[in-house]
Amino acid sequence: MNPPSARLAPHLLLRPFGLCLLLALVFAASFAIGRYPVPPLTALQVLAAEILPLDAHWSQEVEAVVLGIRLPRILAALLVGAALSISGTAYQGLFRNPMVSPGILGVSAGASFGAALAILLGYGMAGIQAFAFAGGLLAVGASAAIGAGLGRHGDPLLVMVLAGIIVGTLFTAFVSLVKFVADPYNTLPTITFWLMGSLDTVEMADLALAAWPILLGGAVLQALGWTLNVLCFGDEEARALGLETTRLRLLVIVCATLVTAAAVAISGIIGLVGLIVPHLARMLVGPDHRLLLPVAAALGAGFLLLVDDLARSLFAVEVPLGILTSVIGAPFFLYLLGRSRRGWA
Amino acid sequence: MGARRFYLLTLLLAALLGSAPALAERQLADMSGRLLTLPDTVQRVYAIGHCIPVVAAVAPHKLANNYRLGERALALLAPALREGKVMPAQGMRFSDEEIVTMAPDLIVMEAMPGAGERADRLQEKLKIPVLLIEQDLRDFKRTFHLLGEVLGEPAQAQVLADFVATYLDPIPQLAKRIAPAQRKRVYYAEGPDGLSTNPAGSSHTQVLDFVGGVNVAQVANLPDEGMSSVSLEQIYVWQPDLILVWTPAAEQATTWTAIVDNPLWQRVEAVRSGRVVQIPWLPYSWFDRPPGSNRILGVIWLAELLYPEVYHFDLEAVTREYFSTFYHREPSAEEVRALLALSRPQAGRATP
Repeated sequence: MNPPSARLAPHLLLRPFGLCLLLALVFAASFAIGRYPVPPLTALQVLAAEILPLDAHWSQEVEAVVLGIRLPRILAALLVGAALSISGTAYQGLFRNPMVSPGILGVSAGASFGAALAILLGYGMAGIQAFAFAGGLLAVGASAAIGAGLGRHGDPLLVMVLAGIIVGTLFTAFVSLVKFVADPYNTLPTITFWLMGSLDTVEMADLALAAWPILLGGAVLQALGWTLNVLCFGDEEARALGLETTRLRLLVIVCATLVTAAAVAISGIIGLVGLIVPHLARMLVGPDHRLLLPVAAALGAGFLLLVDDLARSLFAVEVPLGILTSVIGAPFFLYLLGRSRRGWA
Repeated sequence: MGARRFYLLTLLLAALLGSAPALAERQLADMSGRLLTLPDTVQRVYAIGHCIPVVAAVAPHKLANNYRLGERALALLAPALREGKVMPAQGMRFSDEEIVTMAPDLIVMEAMPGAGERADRLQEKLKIPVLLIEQDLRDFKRTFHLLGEVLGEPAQAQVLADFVATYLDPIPQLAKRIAPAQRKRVYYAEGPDGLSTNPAGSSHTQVLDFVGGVNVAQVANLPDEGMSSVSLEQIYVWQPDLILVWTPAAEQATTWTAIVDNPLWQRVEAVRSGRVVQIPWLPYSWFDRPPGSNRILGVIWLAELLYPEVYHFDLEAVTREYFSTFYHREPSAEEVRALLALSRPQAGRATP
């Protein structure tokens, strides 16, 4: 079996280019979408006025809507969509399994528990995010430690996935426990809504914090693209090529976890994106992670941005984002699956 | 064997007690029409969830449980409502066995949709009669009379019903006469950031509908527990006349501060001109959660807040009367002023 070629085929680069154009279009259009009426041109002018000397002919409300409300939310959708897709892609490659999603090692369950606990203790948004992030890291840390400890004599990947399922179940039980003791009038609905996922509470300061782990983890994963390709072929092949598989695998897990935990901390639980976007990306550009990772990031960012545009504009009260991603994503994915003849990985 | 004899005695006693009510029991229909067999004199009542305030108002000594309340809330209640009550360790749920340990001879539950079946099952399982009561603002007089009869406190029930007849009953008529253009448009801000709400028609915002306020969130078919998220730009579109702020962690006024201190909220006229009102929360919220008889005072408070020219309540006097009638302890004039000042957190912070 040959390792993947070191060069990327040029014909594969055309599609990412089109994808970027599409993403830019959705990005621009998103500023004009929402409950408060802002003409598309004005929305773009408000944005442009941040860097260009333009006369402000719009009201303060319009400026607050575009810059204060929509901008952080759009950036959050891009960031979270990209983060979930990158970590989903990395995990699917690492575990050589198409059914793996970013939550496989328990990060979502851990983050849910952290957030639920913070809500129970009456902390504000910053506390909820910090607890969610810490909970996610804690859960994956436990899974990885169990995998490393018990998997020494068997298949460490399999043991780690099993450990992840167990740890995830355990943390889900903790969430139920928190919900059980929570005051059903105030605390319980807040927890329930957090678990459904939403971007409506994200502010610029939160974004600035969450962006660091996501960008850092994403960059390291991107740099490990070729390594991921090799790891996909299995441990023996990877070792034959001189790779330190155990350490590299741990590095991938650490990065993917940082990325997911930061995303979940600001958005709550958003299902399906991290599972299906990697597949869509593979349908587009094939299995080479050097190209697959950025394409998955762009696709995920665009998908979540589009769905969030719907979530915040369909009705006067918002539809929880986690519900919409699943309701829209599942049939769309099945449709593509039926049409595509391309393999899994 | 002392222990065995004790068990035998207990068994014998239980058997005796089990057969005794046949001599002194009565049949009675609850507010969902279920026929119940009750002991002649009910000694101890377990009130589920938001039935606590209403049972506390009718028969404080017979109420077995209470919410876990803070110091400030407890200080406002009569000793009969503070002492010897079973409180949940966290939240407000009790397990079946905890209920049995509490040894109530009646359970009071709210007649919500589907409650009949749940009440039947609970009653079957615990062998304790479950009484369903209505907590709609329009039903409270009937609720008080029924509870008065069941708990043997008809005189207190009459006092409570009279309070409702005097202060609440005229309100819908007066509210109907408010011209549509004069109606205050209100946003109910919930959640840590104030960006969750309950739309019109929800049981959580009935007080607002009752006094003739307009809930800006007019959305059909949402689950009643509510707390649906709203985007701030939607509030720009609504431009409510007034923002009512819910009451979790109210001591710190978390939500109120999150709204008032956020520059983006300043684009809402009501925030700019200081019409962000914290709902008083002692000893229970006056407006919602629990949606029980605690809302009766909330109705009067909100009516006066929105339409002082229509209702003409003397808030201090009514508040004092409400507290002594429903919580069985007359607050001092100073306490009443402090209670009413809760709606203005900054002013509230100045007073200890």
